[in-house]
Amino acid sequence: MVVGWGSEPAYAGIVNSVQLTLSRGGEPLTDVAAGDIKVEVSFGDQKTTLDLEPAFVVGRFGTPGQYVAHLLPTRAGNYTFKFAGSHDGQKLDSTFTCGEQTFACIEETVAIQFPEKDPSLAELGDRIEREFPRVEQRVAAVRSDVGSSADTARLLGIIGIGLGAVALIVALVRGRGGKARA
Amino acid sequence: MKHRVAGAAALVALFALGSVMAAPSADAHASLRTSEPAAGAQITAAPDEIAITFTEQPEPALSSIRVLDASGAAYEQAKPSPAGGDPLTLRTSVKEMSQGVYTVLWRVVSRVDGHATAGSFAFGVGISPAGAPPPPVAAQPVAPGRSSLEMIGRLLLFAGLISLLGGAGFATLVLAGPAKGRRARDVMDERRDRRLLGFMAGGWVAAAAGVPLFAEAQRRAADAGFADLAATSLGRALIWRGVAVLVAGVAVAAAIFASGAMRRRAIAAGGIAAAVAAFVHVQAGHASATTSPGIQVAGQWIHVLAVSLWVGGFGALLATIRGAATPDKHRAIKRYSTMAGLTLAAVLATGILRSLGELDRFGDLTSTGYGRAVLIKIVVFTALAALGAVNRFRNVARAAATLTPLRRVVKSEAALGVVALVAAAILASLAPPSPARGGATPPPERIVVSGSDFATTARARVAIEPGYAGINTVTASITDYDSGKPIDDAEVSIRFAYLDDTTIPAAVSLLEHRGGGRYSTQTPNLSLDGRWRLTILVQQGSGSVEIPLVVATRCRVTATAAEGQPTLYDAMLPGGRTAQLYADPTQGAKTEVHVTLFDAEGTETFVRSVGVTATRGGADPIGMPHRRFSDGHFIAAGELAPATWRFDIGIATPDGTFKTCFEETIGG
Repeated sequence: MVVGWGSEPAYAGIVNSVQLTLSRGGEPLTDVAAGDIKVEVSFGDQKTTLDLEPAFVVGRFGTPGQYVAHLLPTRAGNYTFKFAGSHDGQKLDSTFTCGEQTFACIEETVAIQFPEKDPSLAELGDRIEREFPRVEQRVAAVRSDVGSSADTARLLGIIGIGLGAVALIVALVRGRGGKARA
Repeated sequence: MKHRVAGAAALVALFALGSVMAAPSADAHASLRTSEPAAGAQITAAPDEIAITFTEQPEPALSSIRVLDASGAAYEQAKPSPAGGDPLTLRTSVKEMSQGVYTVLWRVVSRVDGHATAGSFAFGVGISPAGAPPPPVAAQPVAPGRSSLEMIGRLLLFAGLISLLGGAGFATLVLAGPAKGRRARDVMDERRDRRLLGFMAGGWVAAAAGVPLFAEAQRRAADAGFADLAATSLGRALIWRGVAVLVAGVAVAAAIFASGAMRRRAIAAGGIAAAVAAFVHVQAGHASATTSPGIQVAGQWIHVLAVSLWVGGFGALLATIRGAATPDKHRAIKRYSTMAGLTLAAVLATGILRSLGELDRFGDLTSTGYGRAVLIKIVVFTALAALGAVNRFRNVARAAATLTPLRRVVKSEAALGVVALVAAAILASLAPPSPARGGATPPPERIVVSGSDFATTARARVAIEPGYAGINTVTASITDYDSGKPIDDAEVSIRFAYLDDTTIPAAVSLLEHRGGGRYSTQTPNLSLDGRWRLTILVQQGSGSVEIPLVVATRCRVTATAAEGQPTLYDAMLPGGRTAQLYADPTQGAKTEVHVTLFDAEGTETFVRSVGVTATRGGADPIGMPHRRFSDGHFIAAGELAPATWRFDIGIATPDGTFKTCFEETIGG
């Protein structure tokens, strides 16, 4: 069996497929029905199971013995394929993780973009998600500054009124004292 | 006559202490150890952040890093935050920098001792920072000098804690100790209690005055408000000291109003509260910043407790024996003398432990202010121990008959005790010269690059050692973009793509997690001299980010500078051959790069052709047209702006092609 992505190098955000090519004694195995073999694709703590189906019609198109499960990898990184099923009473249970000795890991498209390098949809989404709390934090800080300035102004106002009242009382008391002395 | 000698000795000791205080402080608190970019460096690629590593852990909330260009425009984007996994390093992200000279102004407050330090350095992006004028900055950071307020605060706090601990220890171990056939209550008569409590209350007043003065000194050093200070570890330690001193005050007040066993319990509680305050003080000091903080903090705490029982107990003895009946005096002096002998041993043992923990070399005792203060403490300690021995073995025995000789020695002891206290306050305000925090070990030669992903999720700081083509140790520090917290639960790999020849397939290295957001591996993937794109893949849970970085391997050449001549660079090539390279910027508007190949015997040898490119910063390389000058000598020429340029040279010979490079500042 030969395992890999349908299109390598493989990039995030571009439709691809898990590809399994089966042969026995050098002859392609062409009689595996759709769903007989499943592939569990895992990325980090996420998993999904897909049915493999023939990507050929013998004598008409495709490479005999090649089975695919279409997938759009959305994140760059390390993917693992676990194939399970049976054919002619023979069980299949094999796991492969991407790497230099196996099949390509998923990369961001930036490596192949030309002439300008644009972020992927996933990167844009993540950026927006990261920016929201920052904006909220800045708005809260501005509100807090404004509130603190208002509180200070109110406090200064009260102190001013208090000082004015004290000055008024002192003036009244001294005025009366002066009159009395006169 | 004896007290004149003692007074003169105390004066000499105080003078020596003064010289310690007045001496220029060669040692530092949180001083700059290294920085990225390094001070005075000419770098080709503009940095994404500035990282400074200090000799002591800085308090990020009270620290600032400013980055200014020649016009004074600020480039820093945020308050500094600790680098992932390295609490000694502060970093701040910077705006995109163009070619020019940048000045970094830093001011930090040490988490260890609360002292502020400040400084500045310059680096150049694409050009040399040498000789560039400083930016027109109005407010250069200025670190406060040694603070008298702090010294007075420490002195009062020490004196207060010593009196509280010594008084409580004296009451518990001397007055209320096992008396032959007499109950403790009989020993502690009311008049003595009042004098002892008066002594402790005086100590509490000193400690209560010392805490706010010390807090104000730390606030001034931090150049921050009390609210900001309270939110830091320094502020929390101050609050805990204050709470412990307050509790001690309540206990002493309770003891004044109580009597009998309740009074003794209250006195003991006051002593425990003072011991807690001493522990908080020690925990927030230099002992906690050593390589073995548990042992050193415990040692320092025991040292303070022992000194307190010895010196404070001595004060309590003087306060309580006045007017007492001679047999009682004799008994109290004898018991104190036994306690003093034991505490002296503890002071000696813990003092040696602390000195070993803080002083790396014997020469530090005389070459650093900290060492000189330790030396004075040793001298004073020895003198005190000698006087104590005179009392213990001569005067105490004669105390039942006459107290006159004892009194004379006691006065000298009291004077030296004050000197010891001042020395301790100075010692606590000086930074130890231990290389554990401030060694002069030069940083390893390496390449450091940093960057972040487009989504601004994570930052990566990648260090490549030694940075030449071949096997390198690659260490990536991965932190959260906003909080700067290390990211530890990720899978990290780096894809190496050679930019100078895109037909060479990229290679991937997986990095091993080392803790604190650091991931590293040893890899041969930087296999060729030149520019590489490093794509750091950080995979976490169901998400991943890619952080692209560009690095150029370091040029493996030997430089020879001569007055009035271009600097010559010799590159060793396979087969014993040597390429001699130099840039000559004096050819009109053009800069010429000369490439000559020599064989193992030093004879010029045939070169088929050369290829020369010039790169500045992270820009694309510029090809330089070349012409043959002789069989083994080619000259490439191009119009190059004043900057630091990297020249990558390919040399084709009949038996292979070799690559080499050198860096030169043109017009700098």
